[in-house]
Amino acid sequence: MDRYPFDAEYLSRLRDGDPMTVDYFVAYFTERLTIKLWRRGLSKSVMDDVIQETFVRVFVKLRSPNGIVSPERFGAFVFGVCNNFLHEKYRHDSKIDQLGDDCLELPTPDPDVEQMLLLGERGAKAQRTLKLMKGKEAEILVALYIEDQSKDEVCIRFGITRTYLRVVLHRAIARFRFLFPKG
Amino acid sequence: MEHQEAIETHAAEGYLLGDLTAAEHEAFELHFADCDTCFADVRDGATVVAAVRKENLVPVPVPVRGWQYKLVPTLAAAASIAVAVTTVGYQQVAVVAPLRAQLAKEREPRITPLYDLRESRAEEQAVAPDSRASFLFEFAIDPEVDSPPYTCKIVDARGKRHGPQLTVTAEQAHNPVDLLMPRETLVPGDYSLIVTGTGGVSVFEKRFMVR
Repeated sequence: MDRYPFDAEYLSRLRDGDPMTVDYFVAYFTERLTIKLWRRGLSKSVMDDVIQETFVRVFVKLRSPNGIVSPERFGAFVFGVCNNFLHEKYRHDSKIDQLGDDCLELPTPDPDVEQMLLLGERGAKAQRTLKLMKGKEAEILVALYIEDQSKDEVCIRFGITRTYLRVVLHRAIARFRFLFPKG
Repeated sequence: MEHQEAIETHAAEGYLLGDLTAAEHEAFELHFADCDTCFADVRDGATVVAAVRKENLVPVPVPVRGWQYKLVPTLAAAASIAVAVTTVGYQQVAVVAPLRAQLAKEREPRITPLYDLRESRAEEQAVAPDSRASFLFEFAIDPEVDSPPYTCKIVDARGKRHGPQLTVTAEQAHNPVDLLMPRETLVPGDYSLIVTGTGGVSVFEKRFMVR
């Protein structure tokens, strides 16, 4: 995706609803906000809701008389809007929990057969990639994300500091991506 | 957080490890919202973590390295191959074949039922979808209400959303909009299709009943 500069002109086009600018905005921030919310361990449906509401609020602010003051910090602004909504949501949800919500959540549909096959295929590729990697890097990925060992346990096991763990993870990610079959 | 600081402290990896303080976490998120390089590091890492996660694959023995290679008995290797061949054969017959048959059945051509919510002028329209199959709702967005992007969702009488929420751009709104409802999403009852624009501006609302 080509990067649009976040400046006054971009915000003006976005405010006016220029289709390409809106599409870019949606694609750019859906990707970033998805990662941010994934890190918080939210479910897919909650992520979708949070992202939608963030977009709605950004557009409201964008079209308000005082608008957005620093276009060059637009990304941080959108993330700030998302954070505010998350805080409100947590407060609201905790109140509902206290009241005892009797509303049943629909069960998440099971993955269909095609998804299962794709998942299996991807899992096999990941296994092969781990086998191709250098011992320590693969072992650290396995320890962290398959064996679910704590970071302290991993550091003790491999005789490294927490700071160096980040360096090894950086290399492991780069190596994994390089060796992972494309397509 | 400045970019140089993020690079020097390996903030992206710290973020993925959950190793940043709350302040660092927030500062780094605000940074990668505008920084393509740092976001690429986070996205690449997240992709790898997602691929490696144990839900995706069973634990694999990490390869034996260096001098240990020479100590692996040939017989054990042959036995491993025999076990692997048997396992793969079993998986092909007992697991993969039934899955493939089910997949072929799922892929058989079929007509997805479509309910046009523009058709009836009645205040409430009745639909009777087969709950075991997915179906489509089709409707139009009034171009007079100019506040894209539009948000479309189905809610029940208590205001609880069912099924996916769809975002429609101004361009897409020129054509009829299809909202795909996965199977077993709606039980019999009263529902509304609600379309809102920016700031929750009401664009379209249609009540319907599922029999």
